[in-house]
Amino acid sequence: MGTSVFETGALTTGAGTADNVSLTTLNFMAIQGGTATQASFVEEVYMGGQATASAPTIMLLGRDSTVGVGMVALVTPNSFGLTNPSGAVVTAIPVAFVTASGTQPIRSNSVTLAKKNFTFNSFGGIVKASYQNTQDRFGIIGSTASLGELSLSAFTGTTTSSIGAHIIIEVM
Amino acid sequence: MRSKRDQQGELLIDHTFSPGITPEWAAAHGATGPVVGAGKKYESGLINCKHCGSDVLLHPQRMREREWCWTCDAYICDNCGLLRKLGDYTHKTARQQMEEVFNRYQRSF
Repeated sequence: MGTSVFETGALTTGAGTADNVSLTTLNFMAIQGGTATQASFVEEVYMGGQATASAPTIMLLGRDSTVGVGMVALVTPNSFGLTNPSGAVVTAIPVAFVTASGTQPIRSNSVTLAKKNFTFNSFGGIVKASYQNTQDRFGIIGSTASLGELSLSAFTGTTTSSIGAHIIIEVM
Repeated sequence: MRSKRDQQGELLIDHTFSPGITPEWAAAHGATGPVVGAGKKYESGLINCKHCGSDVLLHPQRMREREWCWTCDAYICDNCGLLRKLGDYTHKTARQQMEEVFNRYQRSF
């Protein structure tokens, strides 16, 4: 067990993507399970707006009905690593990515798969949701659709801007 | 000593230095959750419903009783509370449901 942080320095939201539509490369943050049975749970979601003019933003944390294929390794300023430098290193860590060379993730439109909605203004706005002490946190299990991958991306109606964000997950 | 609030998270939406979100914009775009206007900061306790896993914001001014599951010894959301009262309700936690779906998927190979 150990907690890891997936961070993006400047994530472009785009104008938002509807459910059940392929997400646009570099417009999402996604985490896919590292093995067929691995479970991970979200501890914290943080988003800090970087817009230079008013930009109402609808960010959804949801599970993907089509998982990414050919996930491209992160490059700076994005990062994914253990929160504590002496934390336990998992043999097959989850895969964090912002683009895929094959299939891009598709956020599920299932009405029985939970999603979390964070609506804020990216012009100076900040959102932080902490789940550290809660039970039954939002999580993924395995590495296949529709429970094995989560993504954070903008929903339709968003005004294009940039945000800095991180997701802390606990790998069980 | 254990408290009902032990397992509480926190939601912060800070528009102190931001134009924020107007109720009209939120309504027009179907945005759910707290609508925080210009110059406002929203802070609230947060729990996950033990039965469905959804976020439950603990509104400090709520007067009516909050739904509590004695089996789980945890808060649940109003929707799950209502379903439980309507009867014919199978008690399952969100994690149990998730594991069931996952196991069904694994067996399908």
